[in-house]
Amino acid sequence: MAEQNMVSMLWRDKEARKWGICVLLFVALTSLVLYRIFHTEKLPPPGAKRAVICQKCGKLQVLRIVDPETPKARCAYCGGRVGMAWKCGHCGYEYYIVNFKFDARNLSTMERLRKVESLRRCPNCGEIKDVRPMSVNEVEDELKRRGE
Amino acid sequence: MEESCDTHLEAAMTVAFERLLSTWGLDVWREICYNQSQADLVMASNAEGRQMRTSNVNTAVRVGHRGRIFTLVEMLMVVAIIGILMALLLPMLREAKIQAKFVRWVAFNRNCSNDPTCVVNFNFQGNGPAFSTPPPGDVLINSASGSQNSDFKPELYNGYLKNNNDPSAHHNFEWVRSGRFGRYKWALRFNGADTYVVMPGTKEINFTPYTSFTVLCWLKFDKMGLGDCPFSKSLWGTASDASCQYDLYAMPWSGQFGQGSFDVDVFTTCGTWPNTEVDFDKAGWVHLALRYKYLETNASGDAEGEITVFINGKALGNYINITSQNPYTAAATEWKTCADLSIPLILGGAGCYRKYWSASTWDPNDTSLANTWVIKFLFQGLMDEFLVYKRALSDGEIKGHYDMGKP
Ligand SMILES: [Zn+2]
Ligand SMILES: [Zn+2]
Repeated sequence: MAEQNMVSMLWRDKEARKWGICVLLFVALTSLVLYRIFHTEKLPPPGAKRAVICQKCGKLQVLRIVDPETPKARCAYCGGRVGMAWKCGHCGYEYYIVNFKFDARNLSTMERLRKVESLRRCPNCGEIKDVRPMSVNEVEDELKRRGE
Repeated sequence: MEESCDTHLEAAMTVAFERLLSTWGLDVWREICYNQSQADLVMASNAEGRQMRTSNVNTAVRVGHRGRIFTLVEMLMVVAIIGILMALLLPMLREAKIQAKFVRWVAFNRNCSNDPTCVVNFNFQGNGPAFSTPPPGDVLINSASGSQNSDFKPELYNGYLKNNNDPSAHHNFEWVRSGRFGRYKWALRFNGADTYVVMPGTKEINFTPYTSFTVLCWLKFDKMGLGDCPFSKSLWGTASDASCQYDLYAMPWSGQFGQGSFDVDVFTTCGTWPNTEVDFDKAGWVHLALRYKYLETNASGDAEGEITVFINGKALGNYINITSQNPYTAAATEWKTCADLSIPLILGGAGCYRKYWSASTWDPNDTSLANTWVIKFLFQGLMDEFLVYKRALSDGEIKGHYDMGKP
């Protein structure tokens, strides 16, 4: 009886009702926010370890890269922008490629693929097809060999 | 003594709270708190109605004529208790839900393996207790056990993790918790530089235009790059000299909103879907399915079939494969189907003719696989689950795969 009275009185009192609802909402929202912060189903962080070359100081290194076209990670030595490290199978030259975006709307699939190839061209000998992205272990071995 | 101590504490808290309220200008609260403050407030200490005069506790709220009266501290305690209960209960409920979903998926995945037409089933899990340990490092175990052929050896279709730049070096894959079923599910991170998976067996996954098949997988793109190839059983060459059974690759400029789509090559057809609703760079996990359904043999003796791509269980419309319909697609009419070439199925890259793609390393007199192909267009992102069926799954079945596996 007393409990009923309490609830009904709280409900009848306009201000108490307002505040009661506010407090309940606050509790619910805070719990939800805390729950979201601590228990969101977390996807693994994006990005793979990639071999990159600094556009400024030219140093070969390994960084975690999300978007190889326009990498956001910066050089560990000088803070400069980096590009994906590629190696020419023809002349052995190591170089970086970056910003290989282009307007492909009016190109056929094969034309697009050829365009992608041409953007990966070796700047030393001009080879288009026999080029490849460098491996992480390849770079790490090389750095070890150089004593870096 | 203790009681008086409590009373003083309560009074002190009340004063502090009052100051706080007046600072914030929350007079409403004060009104509630103080609407009876000049009267002698009554705090019932228990249900028997034993009453105690507490003239110095003037913050109580009278909520009934004879009923209990809340003090501020009591209300705060209730709020705190509700908060703690919710903080404890919500994660427990969530964990139970995830575990139930994972258990359901495990059962579903085992069921898939028992389908007599399922020839490849990589669930990307180890065989530890509860099926939830990370898989052993270098092989994706094919759990499909129900091929129609009695001489089917599932282990021939295990997936071997490889380093494309140096076959003798260790692969550069990373195993990560996929986040699809909390901590239970594992996924493989392809790095877009040198990682690919190869299945040595080819017989059971050699398809011709007269055989239906379905390929399904879960993917998460880091960034869609043109040509990035989640799976292929192809030899890409030139527009007029290429061989293909089936592959699927990213086409980041497609889509009405520039959000990306996929092209597929199936036998001699290059199909394009200009429109999808998913933005793949932001979407997280997506479920992809490629289905080829053999329909009939036409008057000239050629097989006619239907190619469909499903994204998150939903079929994309009819593909466009001829240049007059869509000037942006390749005309693949000169292509050869590579059924007789026995090219292995690979995950994470596209098989390409070495003679075109790495001519300096190609020996025209060597017919070995290593000399015939080279792997390009490597996929960067996560993969989790990969299945091949020797039949065309129905729309409902593909939707079922998506529903069972969706995070
Ligand atoms: Zn630098
Ligand atoms: Zn070169």
